[in-house]
Amino acid sequence: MRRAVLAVAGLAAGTSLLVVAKGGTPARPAAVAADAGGPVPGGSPTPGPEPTVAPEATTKAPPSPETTARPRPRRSTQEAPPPPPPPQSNTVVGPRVENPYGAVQVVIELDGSRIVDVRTLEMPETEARSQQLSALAEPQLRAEALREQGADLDTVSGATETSESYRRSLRAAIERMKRGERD
Amino acid sequence: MRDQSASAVAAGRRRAGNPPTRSGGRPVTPPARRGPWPRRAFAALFWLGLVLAVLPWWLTTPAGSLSGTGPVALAAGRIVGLVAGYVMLVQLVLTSRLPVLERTVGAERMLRWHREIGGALVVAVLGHMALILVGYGALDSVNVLVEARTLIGGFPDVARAFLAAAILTAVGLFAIAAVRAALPYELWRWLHLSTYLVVLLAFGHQFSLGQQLFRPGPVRTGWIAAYLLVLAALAYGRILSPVLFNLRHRLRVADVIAESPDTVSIYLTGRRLDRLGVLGGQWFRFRFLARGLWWQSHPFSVSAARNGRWLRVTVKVVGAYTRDLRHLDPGTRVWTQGPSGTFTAAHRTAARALLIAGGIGITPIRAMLEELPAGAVLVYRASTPADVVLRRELDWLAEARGVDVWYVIGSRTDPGPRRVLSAAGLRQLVPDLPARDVYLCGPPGLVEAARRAVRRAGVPRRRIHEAAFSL
Repeated sequence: MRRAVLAVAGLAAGTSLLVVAKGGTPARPAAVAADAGGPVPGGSPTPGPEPTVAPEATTKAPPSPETTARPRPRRSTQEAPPPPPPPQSNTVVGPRVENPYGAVQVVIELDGSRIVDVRTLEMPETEARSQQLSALAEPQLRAEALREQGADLDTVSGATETSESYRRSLRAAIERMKRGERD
Repeated sequence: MRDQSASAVAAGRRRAGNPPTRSGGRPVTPPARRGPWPRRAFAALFWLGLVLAVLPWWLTTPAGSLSGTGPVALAAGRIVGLVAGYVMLVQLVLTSRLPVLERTVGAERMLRWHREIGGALVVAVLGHMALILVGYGALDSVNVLVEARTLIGGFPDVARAFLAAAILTAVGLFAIAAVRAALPYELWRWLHLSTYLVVLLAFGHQFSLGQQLFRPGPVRTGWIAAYLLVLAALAYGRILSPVLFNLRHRLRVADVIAESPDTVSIYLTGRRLDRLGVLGGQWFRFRFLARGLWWQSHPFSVSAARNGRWLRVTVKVVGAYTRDLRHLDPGTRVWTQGPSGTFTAAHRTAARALLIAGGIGITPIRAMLEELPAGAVLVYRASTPADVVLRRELDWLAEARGVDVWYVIGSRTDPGPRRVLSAAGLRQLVPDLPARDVYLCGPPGLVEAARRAVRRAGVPRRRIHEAAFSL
């Protein structure tokens, strides 16, 4: 009996020690996570209304004519007025939205202006639980997005953060779509 | 000394007598010593395993990544979870009845560890649950109960793990000494078997949701390998090894002899008993395959050293089961498992020994006396002269193997026995006591009192050997 108490005390002390040892000084801020942020949306500089959007994504993204030495095909059509450039593709990539468990980034596929599919480039899965929740939540969110043709989605129970991030990324993607942008 | 307790001490030492014809009277050389290294190796392996269990967490958690309630509670919960998962496997090994562990580390010691660890394991599992719920609750900004509902509803593996924790906690409550004393032993045994269910139910969530285990890799593989190893140990220790033993030896009851009004000796014969490596002081688990007895398995010490021809256990009638043993028919088959135990002459640390027996606790010591080097001293406590069993054999051993045998008869409150079993009394009886091994077997009260007395008389703890079963 006494040893059982000792064992419990030892476990508590050992666990605290380990947690304290790892919890010490923050080594590097979250920039690391952003670096490893997967595919960068090639779209406009301000797609994400959220501050959580990875900063690199927005700075690298815009193709700025001033620094581009080579003439791009689009330039040649610049004199030709109004008709907007024909969409290069039928997909729009949403911004990468981070949450405590990871990040969500969606891609919508279009047929005209109709959303025919929503894929995710990234879902939280660094954690076992998040991975499971993502697997659980994604089909529900996707089905609802296709049905609603919008980003006004219900939160999947248990996956509050992931649902929210998914919504934001999707909403931004849809806004870009409405502006006629394509990736 | 002897004069003083003359009223209590019924007989002195080295009485000559005819050797009982039943006992094989050939001289036995003391068995080679088996040091404490198996026990130490086992303990070292335990700690190594514990480090290996937590190491993956340490390696995959970046320094400084833990801040805030959520991550800290999750990290602590994961560590405790890894420890609990590992300890659960250790618990299975401790009760696997692997012959090598039963004879080197000692079945009694492992059972004691199993009990002590068991209590801590229940607390650890509940702690793991609480920490994980608090951690995810903080991250999700919901309270613990909502988080619990989410996890149980969202993940079947977690629901099963909750059930496992509930069963484990219930078993833990039943294991509390006071509660268990109120339960029939067999009921407790069946309740305890439900812990296998706990292992099964808790298995899934470790691999589908364990942060260190859900991804394929060496950690996951190693963890699964550990499960397979433990499964193999259980299959061998609990099934294959007993089957082989019983196929080889085929023990049967040969005779049942009354030793005293309430004590019987059961003689067992079988095949190839010359190859049965049992030491005096060791015991077997016996299942007598007779009507009304076959469903219970009980441990009994052998009460005579090995002789290649028969085994003997001497049993005191204390209840319905032992009462029925008196009526065993010769020829009854006996399903047997063993031998087990480290209460033997081979585990001595010194040249000479003091043995203290109480009542029926004499039986393992009687067997051991045949194997101990000469110069041992036996103090045999009994309440009344009628409680002294195997007296003729003890007197013969006193003569044949140079053992001082002291019978100390009387109630434990009588001045004589009290004096003999005090530190001063024992030192007077055995002046070189601190340099001897001490073997204790008898009712728990006597063993406890004797241990305290010899500790006070200067015997180091490692020299004190206790037979844990009050047989």
